[in-house]
Order: sequence, then C-alpha cells, then structure tokens
Amino acid sequence: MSSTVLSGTPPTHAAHRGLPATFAALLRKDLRLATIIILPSLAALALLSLVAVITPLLGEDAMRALGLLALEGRGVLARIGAFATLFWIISAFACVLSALAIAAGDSSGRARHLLPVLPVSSRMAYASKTCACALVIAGFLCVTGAVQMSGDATMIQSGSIFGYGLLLANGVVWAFVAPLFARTFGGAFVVTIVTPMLLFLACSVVGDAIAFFALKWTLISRDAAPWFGDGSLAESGGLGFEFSMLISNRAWTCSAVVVLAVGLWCAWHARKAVLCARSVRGVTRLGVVRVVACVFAAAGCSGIGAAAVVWNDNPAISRALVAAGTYESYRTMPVDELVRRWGSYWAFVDSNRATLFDRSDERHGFEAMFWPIATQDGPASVGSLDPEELIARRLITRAIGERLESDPEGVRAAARALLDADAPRSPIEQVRLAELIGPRTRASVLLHRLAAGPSREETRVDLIMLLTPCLSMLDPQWDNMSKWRRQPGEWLGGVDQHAWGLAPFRIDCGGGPKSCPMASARAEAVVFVTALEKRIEEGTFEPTDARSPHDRLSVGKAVLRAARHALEPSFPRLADHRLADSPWLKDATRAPSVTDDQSLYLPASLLFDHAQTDSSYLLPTGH
Amino acid sequence: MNTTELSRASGDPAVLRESDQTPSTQNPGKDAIELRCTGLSLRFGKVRALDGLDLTIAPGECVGVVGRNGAGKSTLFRSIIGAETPDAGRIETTPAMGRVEFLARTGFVPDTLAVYDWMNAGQAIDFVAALQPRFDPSWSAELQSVLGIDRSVKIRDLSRGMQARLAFVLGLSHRPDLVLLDEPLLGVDAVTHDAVLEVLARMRSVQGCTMLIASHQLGDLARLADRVVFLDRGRIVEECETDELVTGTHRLIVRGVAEGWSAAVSDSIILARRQDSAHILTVRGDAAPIRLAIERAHPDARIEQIALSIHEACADRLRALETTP
Repeated sequence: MSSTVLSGTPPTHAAHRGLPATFAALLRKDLRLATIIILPSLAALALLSLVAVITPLLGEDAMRALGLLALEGRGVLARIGAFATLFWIISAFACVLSALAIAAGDSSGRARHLLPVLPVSSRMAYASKTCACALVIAGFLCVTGAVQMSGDATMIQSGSIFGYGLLLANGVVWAFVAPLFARTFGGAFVVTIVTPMLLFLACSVVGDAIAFFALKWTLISRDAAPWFGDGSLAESGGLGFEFSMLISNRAWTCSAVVVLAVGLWCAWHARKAVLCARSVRGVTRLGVVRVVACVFAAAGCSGIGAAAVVWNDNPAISRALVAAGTYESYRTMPVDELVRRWGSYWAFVDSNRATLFDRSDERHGFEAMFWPIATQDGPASVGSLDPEELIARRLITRAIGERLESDPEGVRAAARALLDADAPRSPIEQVRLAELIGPRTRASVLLHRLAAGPSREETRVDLIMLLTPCLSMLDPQWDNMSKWRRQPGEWLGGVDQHAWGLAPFRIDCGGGPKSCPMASARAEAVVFVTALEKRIEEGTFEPTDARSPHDRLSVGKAVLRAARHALEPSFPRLADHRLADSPWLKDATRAPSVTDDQSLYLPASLLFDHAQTDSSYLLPTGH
Repeated sequence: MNTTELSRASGDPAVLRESDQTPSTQNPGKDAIELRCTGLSLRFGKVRALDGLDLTIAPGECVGVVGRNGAGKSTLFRSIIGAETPDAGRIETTPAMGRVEFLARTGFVPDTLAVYDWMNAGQAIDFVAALQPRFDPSWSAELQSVLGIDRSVKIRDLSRGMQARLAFVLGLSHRPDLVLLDEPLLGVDAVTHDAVLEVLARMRSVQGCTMLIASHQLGDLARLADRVVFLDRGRIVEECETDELVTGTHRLIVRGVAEGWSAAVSDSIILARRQDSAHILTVRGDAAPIRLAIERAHPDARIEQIALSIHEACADRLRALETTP
C-alpha cells in the first residue's frame, strides 16, 4: 500500500530539523520557564548595584548607614563588592527558584499534557531541564563571583564555599523532587523548602543521637570512655572532653549530605512527574509507610555517617583511645617501672618548663609550683599547657594513684630505692618521688635541697613554694596525711598559733597575708623550719611514720639551720623584673607599707613585725 | 485505495470535498495502528481511576468511549499517551514500536488546550513543529486555514472554542496514525463542530487511521465511531456497535397493568423502571419477543414502542449502570 497523501507536501520527516534543533527548542522552552524568576532576580541585583553607585551622592550618612564609609574614595566596583553577601543570598534564592520553575513549570501549568504527547525522548527532555538549570546557576554564580572578586575576595573561604554549595545543591535537587508531591507551583515551592528542612531536622536529631550512642558505646567497649571525662571519672582524670561535645558540626554536614543524597534518589523517582508522565497521587497508607521508612533510613545513614566522620575526625577520640591504651599499659606495668616513669615524667616537665609554661610573667614561677600539686583533683587546664602534656600528666597521675591504693608499700619501696640511688635528679622529680613515700620524706628532700644553698633565685622560689604545704605536719590534728595544695597566705592568715604550740609571729606586709602571696610563702617556710627544729629538739615530733616505715624524716639540726639560712636572702633580680614598669616603687620599700612585689627586696627576717614576732624566727640583721 | 484530497472549497471551512471512500475497519490505512490495553489499573489515593480495564482497538477502527463524569475516560487517554503511569496492566500496539515513535504517530487532542500561556498560537504551532518529526507544514497550514486559527493571538486571550480549534491543529498537524480525542469539541461553535467532524471523517476515510474518541456529544460518536464502549468506575462494562445504538434500541411503555406486573426476564432488557402508572423498558435489538411475552402475561396491557435516539439509548445504558453494584 502506498503512502497516503491528503494534501500539501508528503508526510516526510523533512520538516524536522534534527536532534540539535529539538534540544534547542526544549532548552529555549525551559529557559523561558525560568524567566519568571531570573528577571526579577536580575532586577534586584541591578537595584543593589544602583544603590552602590549612587550612595556617595546621598552623603556621608547614607554611606555610613550602608556600611560603605570605609570604602569612601574607592571605586564603584569596591562599593558593589561590599554587597557581595546580599548578592550571594539573592543568587542562591534565584537559583533554587529557577530550578523549581524549570522542574515544575511543565507539570504545574496548562502545558502539563503537552510534553507527554511530544515525541521527545525522556532523556532529552530531562537533559534539557538540567542544562537550563545549570546555565542559570552558572550565570548567577558568575555575576555574584565577579561582585565578590571586585570587593574583598579574601572573605571567600573553602568552608563557606562548601557550605554554600551544599545548600544550593540541596535546593536545586529538591526542586526537581517537588513535582512528585505538588500539583501547583506554590505547592512545589513549599515542598522544595520545607521537605529538605524537615528531613535535615530529622537527620540531625535522630542521626546525632544514633551517632552519639554508637560512638559512646564504641568508646566504652574500648575502655576509652573514662578518658572522655563523663561524670565521676572526669574528676579522677578525664581529659577534659565532654560527651555532649562528641558530635561536632561535621555531623550537620553529614546530615546535609544525606539530605542531598535522599533528594537525588527522590529526584530520580520524580523524573516522570517532572516530565509530566505521572501526576500527583493521593496519600495512601503504603505511601506514608514508605515516607516514614525513608526518613528513618536517612536518619540512620546520617547517624552512621556522622559516627564515621566524627570517629575519624575528632582528635579527642583518637587521644582518648591512645590514652586508654597507655593507661592499660601503666596498669600492667611492674611497680618499679611505673614509679621510674613517674619520676622521669616530672624530670621531663622540669627540663621543659620553658615550653610548658608561659614565662612572660614571673608570677608563673610561683604558680608553676602549684599545678603539679593540683594534679590530683585540679582543673583540666592550668595556664597555657600543652594538651598532650595534660593528657600524659593525668594518665600517669591516675595510674600511680591507683597503684598506691592497690600496692602502697610496693610503690613506696620503689620510690625509696630511686631516691636512694645515686643519680642526679631535679628538685621536682625528687619531690614527686618523695610524695609517693610520705610527707616526712617529702619534707626531708626539700630541706636537704634548701640546705644545699641553691644560688638561682628561681630554684629557691620553687623550693619555698613546695615546702610551705609541709606546715600541716605541725598541726596537732595531723593524721600523717597531707594535701600538697595550699594557696599562699591561706595558712598564715588563719592559723591558731597557740593551738599549734607555735611561738608568736606576725607578718608585716601591706594588706595582710592573702594579699602578699610571695611574702606569705617565704614567712610560712621560715615558721615551718623554725618550729620543726624546735619540735625535734623537744622530741615531740615522731621522725618515722609507724604505719609506713619507708616514710621518715632524715634531717638533723645542721640541715635545718642551713635551710633556714637559705630562706633568708632576698630576690632582687625577681623584684626588679616585677617592678620594671613601676621603678619609683623601688625607692619606697618601707613606706607606707610593703607590697608583695616590694617584699622581694627584703630578707626573710624583715618580713615579720619584730615587735610581735618571737626572735627564734629571725636571723640577725645583715645576715 | 483511492486517494482523497482534503481541501477547503470556496474558502468556506465548513464545505469540504471528499471521495466516496467510506471509513471502515475493513479498510484500514497501511500505517494504521492496533491498540491493546490489558488490565490497566491506576489509583489516585483511595480513588480507583482504572480498574483492570481491557480494550482493543483494531487498525482503522474508531471506538467511542462513553461514561459519566469521573468514570475514568481522561485517565485512560492519559495512560495511553504516557501522561500517567498505570499501577498495573499493559498498553501495546501492533506494529510494536517505542514510545517516541508511538508519540510521533499518535495525535492527542485533550479537552483543554495544553500549551504554554506565554506563547501565541503561532509560537505554539512552531514549538510543536520543532519537536514533532512527522509535522507536515502544508497539512498544518491547511488545518489552520480550515479551523480559522489566528497565529498572532496570545494563548491566554483565546476563547474556549478557539482553544479547542488550536488543540486540533496541534494534535493533528503530523497526520497521526492513531488519533486520541478526549472531549475535543467542548465549546466550539456549530460550524467549526461540523468542520472538525468532517476533517476527522476524512482522515479516517483517506488515511484509515485508528481513533479513540471520548465525548458526551453522542451524535458525534454516531457519525464517527464503529463501536461504543461504556466505561464505569474504571472498567468497560458494556460495548456495542454504533448501529445498534442508533437504530437497535427501543423503549416499551406498558400501561394498564395495575397489579402483578412481572416483566419477562431477558438479556435484551437494558433498563426497567416505573414512571407514574407506566412501566418503561429499554430493550436492545428486536423488541417483539419481549412485547409478546408481556401481552401474554397481561392481556389488558397497552404497549407503546418507541425507537430511541443514540442519546437516549446511551443515557438509559448509563442509568442502568447506576443500579449495578
């Protein structure tokens, strides 16, 4: 049968102009769909540019109001560039709404029955829409990018670009999902904005919870949870991290990525709706179940992803794992080795003091003596310490503390053996080892060190600060235990001299003991050495702890005398440093009263009010 | 096969010349398509728009679809062209072809004009021409001329009837082998109505194309369709030849039967109802056996027989469907 001709030209395909022409027609149509958004957006951007151009003509107040005063004298481009943030916001909205117009323009309008009847492949129709969308986005990004570059280009940060890109991608992708759920353009707009936000919320809340519990469970299973500082364990040596801070902002990024992935998946299933090959179906029970399942699956993926990201990305977790491993090794370590590590650790601290502490203010020389004392239950951060050092300190402190509870005599014997060994040790190392044995040993070590007559002012300061807590040994209520932590002046301000059986004394420093920490510390050291000497002479102090034979006071009268003399000299170099900014105070050392800094110029005997102080505390003037 | 030229005579769109070719399924065009819908089902939420619908249209056949509002007619058309994806069922053609080819050979005229508001009539036609590989500019120009399309008028400014005319041009400008018409003549004036019917009739006679028409204007179906199917709640519940609808349906009005009325049970009775004191029966085919049976049972009955128009015949069939559970 021959071809049927009704009239005109034969029915050939000659009229058709080929695939490029077909694609071009579709692309023109899709771009035309987007013009309802593109034109107003471009108008808004043009208006902003116009404002930037004419603002100088409106005077200084207008420039100030728009934040352009700093750019006075610079070009028009710089002023336009100052509006870059607004340009980005408008562009983002324009891109998302344009994508929505392109994606939903066919299905939500009169032409919903036109596209399906045209003999165009679905791929080409969809490709046309994605190309149109890409062109619009590229156009807006070029415009806005140019504006940004004309302003302060240094404000562009990779993190911001990633976040902006993620936000934009979510908006565009969900615009291509909207026709699946909404018949009208308004409905599609609501779906585009609200759906990803709700999904993000669900992913953030449920996903974060899943990630939190997954990470916590993993940390617990690896014995690393205590080092994250939860509850009571934090007090005994957590690393200062909090479980509430376990989930970082990267989890939000993970949620946003999951929302994007779900959007892509939905967009894949929505392509028939975008191409008008499927209309919006009503709500069914199966549909609701599918949506709920999808939300839970997304939240689960978000949680797993967040857990994986945080696990690999959170340095606190890796530190906690290392800490758990190190602590476990300490627990299984022989007691001799553990105690040796304890000593070595303090030797390390002592030798690296310059890097571990902020020495810009010499006051830290004093405070530095307190932080090792504060290790047991002190704050997580003292001064400007290296976090790694902080972790190491807490690990070794907790390990040695536990070993002291489980094997006290073993620890003391090991510490004693190290102290008795003929090896050079720093003062702090010696003191920390002595502390393991007991307060008498600790006092002995410090007194011997002082008796040796250290020449450096810093060394003397350290020894004085370490010695002052030994005052508790003179307390009639003393239980042979001592807390090696005390604020300078705390004892001096509140001690009942009569009850303690001390000869009378009174510090002579402006503002009282608590206002003069350095003077108080020196005075307390003098009182301790003098009173101890008297107790030993009277035989009222038991030199050996009956409950712990390793702990004994091994100082004689000569050592105590020598120590007392070592406490006497002033600290002129330290004082000069402290008063460098107020040299006039150097000339008024006694009038009207001595300040804490000025007291460094005085020998220890002159720190006391001679009229109200027993002479046993004092050395002859000019010593 | 005789070649028929469809042309406009004396510039009057209503007067068209044709050959003596009679449209018939017995004489389909060489490119005519057979369409088979098998088990089509589609739900919109709780509404079952199509419910296992089976329909076969032979090559060159013209089938009319009749049904009340919401029976599923438009959904059937949208499913065939691919504007809806059925939940179940198959749509097949002979010869077999891909979707793009099928659409290139199919002309769809929806009940409302489907085109972008911002276009004018000429742009709409050009847009379709760019995307329709079989678009025939000469034929399109002829259709535009016959239907009086003003290319410069914006779509949003077109009247209902003008929109229907443009929809015809957009749907038929590529000489489709399968024509789908979903309420195509809503709002058109009588002259255009006739012109459109002439165009369709000649497309059948000349091209032998297959047609599926849904219309509430049953006279149109009488002129065009070979067969009429009745659609109810997404299913085809009855189908008959158009001739049967036009000449083979009668109404028997029985009076004078006060009590003990019992109509003879027969498959020929489409609808039985009572109006005042009369019993009214709608009967398909020969009514004589029914009449005879009534006269035997009720000798006093006065029986009046009326031949029904296609409109009345279809209306009674649709009324009968309402009583069917």
